[in-house]
Amino acid sequence: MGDELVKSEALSDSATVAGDAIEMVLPADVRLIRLARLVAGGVGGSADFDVDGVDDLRIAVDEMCTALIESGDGGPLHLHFSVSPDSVEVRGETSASGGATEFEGDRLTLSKQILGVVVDEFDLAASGESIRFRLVKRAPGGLADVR
Amino acid sequence: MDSSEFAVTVSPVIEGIALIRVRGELDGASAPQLVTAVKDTIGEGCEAVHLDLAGLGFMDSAGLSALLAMHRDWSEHDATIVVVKASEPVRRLFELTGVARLLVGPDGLPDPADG
Repeated sequence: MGDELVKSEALSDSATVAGDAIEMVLPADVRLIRLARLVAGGVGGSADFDVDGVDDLRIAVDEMCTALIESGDGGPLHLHFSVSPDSVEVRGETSASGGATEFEGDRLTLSKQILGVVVDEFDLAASGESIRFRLVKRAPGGLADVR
Repeated sequence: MDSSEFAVTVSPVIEGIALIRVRGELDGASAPQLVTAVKDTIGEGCEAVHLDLAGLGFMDSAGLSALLAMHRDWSEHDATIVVVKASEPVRRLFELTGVARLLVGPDGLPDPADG
């Protein structure tokens, strides 16, 4: 099966829209993170983020999906994008049957540096046999906008 | 061609320097292609690789980590890797993480508007 076919199936079968929320399920494959970036870009646009804000959301989702794939056990990524009047919240989860997970390493250090600037809130944590993240990006002019 | 499609173009080596142009999106999926291209180029006898990243529309920490690892690893073999051009997303990532001093040459980066 070619890469393009894999990507098409992932898009058509796993993304659903309900109200102002989008649910997405992605195989744990770094080649498919670009699909999560694509959705993040669309969500950022629908939230009236400017170009920099959309780019911020894309890279934040990319960083978190990369962390889930690196630390998970190969199970699919479950992503939830929700838009409110002043912000976008993205939550994600994957399975980690290996137990305790330590989030460290040079790449993750860079990733945390980036996340600390491009979003207003972020959290990545292991709990039981799963790894979860949550991030919030507020619209320009929002109460907590610091850029 | 899809503007996000990753592509690496290696120019002929001149006076020991090879120019590698990278376009598309540099992330954990595409970074190995760049690492291989740099390895092959240095293996052909060049002493320095100049990276033109002006065509990159996206780069994440995985792409940046690959650049830093190549810079570190090849400097131990007396080969240098320098970023000579960068798009706005790449510049911004350099600024956010403070790595420009490692990857950019002493002359800095030209303004993207200058081509």
